[in-house]
Amino acid sequence: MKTQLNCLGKACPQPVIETKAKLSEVLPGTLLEVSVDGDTQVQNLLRLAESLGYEASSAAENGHAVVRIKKAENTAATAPATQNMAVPLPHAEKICVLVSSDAYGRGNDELGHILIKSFFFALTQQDEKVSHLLFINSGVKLSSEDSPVLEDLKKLESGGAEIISCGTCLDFYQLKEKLAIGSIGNMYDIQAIQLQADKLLKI
Amino acid sequence: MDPLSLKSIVVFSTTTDAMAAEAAVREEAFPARLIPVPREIRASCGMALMTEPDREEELLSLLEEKGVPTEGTWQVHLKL
Repeated sequence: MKTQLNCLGKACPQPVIETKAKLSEVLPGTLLEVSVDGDTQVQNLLRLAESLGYEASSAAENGHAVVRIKKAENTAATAPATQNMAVPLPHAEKICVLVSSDAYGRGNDELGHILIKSFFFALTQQDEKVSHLLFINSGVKLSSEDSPVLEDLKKLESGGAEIISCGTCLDFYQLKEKLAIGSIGNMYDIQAIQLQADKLLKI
Repeated sequence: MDPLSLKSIVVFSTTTDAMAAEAAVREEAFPARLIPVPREIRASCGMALMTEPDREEELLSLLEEKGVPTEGTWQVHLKL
């Protein structure tokens, strides 16, 4: 069985919301074809499918992108979102760091910029391994080109941290083309990771 | 276990000095970066400049030239 969903002209996170709703309606085994405009929407839909444990693929067709998601036959076999989102880690504990600004703490911003560099360097020196680094609001300046902490982020990523930057925020700061590390996520990804974390550091 | 490497650490007596030092190295594109003072060193304001041990002399001269007072230098092993 095949069903189509037209999300052309719809910005993130609308395609994800509509696709999620559609997937819950259709029968197991159904192939859902979602038409979207750009790569960000494609990535978000693939991530959604992965989190649901469904097979998915994407292709460019007639000037736009089509994401095909097959709803699993046996819903009981569907893996919970957490298992698919996390990178394989040497330990079970999920330590998530939410970075909501490019300056650490309130007060003087110049000091805040120094402290944020200090924060990320110190993070590379700790024995505890971070599993997720989430960047929102002006925090996305730290995961983009010209970030003063890119070196530290690369080290944390190679140590097993998954780095996700808020797509809305990258767009707002016009940094979407300048993302230097990790992937783009939407509110669902960013929120789910925090909800599933054992420890959450919010800075 | 992460590999360790030997680094030179220049410490300062005030945060303002550390920030001035960072501005100086950035201006000269000198390969040094600001880090929190490693726990092994019990001194100074909390911020330090880190560079390669063979660039330490050069870094100290640069800071002297720019009029940034330093409090001392250390060599420590860091995970890098």
